[in-house]
Amino acid sequence: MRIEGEYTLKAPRARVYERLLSPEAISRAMPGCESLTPVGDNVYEMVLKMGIAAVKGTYTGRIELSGFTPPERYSMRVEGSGTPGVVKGGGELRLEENGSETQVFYSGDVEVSGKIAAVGYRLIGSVAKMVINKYFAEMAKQIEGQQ
Amino acid sequence: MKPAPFDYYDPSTVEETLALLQEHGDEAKLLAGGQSLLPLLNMRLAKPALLVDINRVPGLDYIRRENGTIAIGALTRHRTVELSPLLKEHCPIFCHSAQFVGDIQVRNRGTFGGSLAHADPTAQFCALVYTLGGTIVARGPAGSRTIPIEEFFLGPLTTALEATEMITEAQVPALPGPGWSVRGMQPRHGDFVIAGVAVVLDMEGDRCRAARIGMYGVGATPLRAREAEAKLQGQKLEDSLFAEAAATAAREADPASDVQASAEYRREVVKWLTEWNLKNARGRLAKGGTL
Repeated sequence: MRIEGEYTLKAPRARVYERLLSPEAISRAMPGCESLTPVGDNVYEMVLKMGIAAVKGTYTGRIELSGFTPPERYSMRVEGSGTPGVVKGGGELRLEENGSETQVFYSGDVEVSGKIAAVGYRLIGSVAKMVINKYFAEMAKQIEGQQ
Repeated sequence: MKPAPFDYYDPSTVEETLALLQEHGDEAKLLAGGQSLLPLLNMRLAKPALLVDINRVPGLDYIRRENGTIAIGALTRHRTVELSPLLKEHCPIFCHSAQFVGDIQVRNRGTFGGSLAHADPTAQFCALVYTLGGTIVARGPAGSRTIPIEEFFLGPLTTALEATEMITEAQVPALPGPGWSVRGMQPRHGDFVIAGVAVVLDMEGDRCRAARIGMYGVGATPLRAREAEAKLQGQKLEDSLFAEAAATAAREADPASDVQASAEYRREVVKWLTEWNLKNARGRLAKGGTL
């Protein structure tokens, strides 16, 4: 499944780039993030607690950041599994300067398997969108609040 | 498939239900018609510690008209909505739409309040209450409160209801006239829609006083195509205007891609459905002698 979209942050590009790669900022912005632990160069292990309606679950996963071209782009690979299912995906984040703002374009492919895929596939797209928007909204609060 | 073990309560009043919710918080799940919850339980995707079955709670199964507003009790079955003479007269869009909700077995059990609380972004009744600008009445430990529908849906399967609250009623305005239409595109009859659109035209002579265009299955919650609505306001119902409004609505949709359809395809479907629904509503107005 393809996931793509964009989000505008009111801060200069270099600053946004730096914050998007900061593990501390990621763990604070990620909805339901219980922990984010570095396990290698730009590799992190994450524990997420997420619930939509009655479907609650704890997911453990790995995030790998690569392909750094500051302050323009970087790549991200995510793998996670929990009782409801398994999520695997990867994509690129591209940052464009737009006056005093920065537009972040994200695009990637996500594979979902397990029970959640069998029952909830038609909802995964909009749930992913909601989680991503919450993530960037929280990032925006952090970045814009620090100026 | 069988659900994980859970405790089961069947309270006989709203007060008892609320006491159970207050005691157990989000460990408890209300069971009404069970048409969405039971599959989740059986797949063991949802494992609530207890189910509070409200099917024996009296006084929540009604459809009433109070002034210009229609009140639908939370435990009203979809089948009752479909066949309601009162709705047929004052808000027939619900009766028409009901035939596309699941199948007759689902409609015999599924409830109006349950569908709203479940907040599936493709659900037709959620979309219709949203399009009409209805109100949700919820009861919690502090008493009753009303929630405008615009503030009720927060995301897919996510609402403004607290874990200690239950829906008791939904209120919708009676339709302004015969200028209405609703249609969704379903892969199979009774299935979840790929995209759906509902329109309501309030007329003044041959001009549109106000239009409502609701979209579902193309966002995290039901949506209104407000810019498209504005284009219709004060105008005559011409084909060229419909085409323009439909293109605008497609832009206002916020669809996601999934196995069934890409986001781009969903926008196309919204465009087609908006135009079709506007023409269909105009046809109803002409037939009803309003145009």
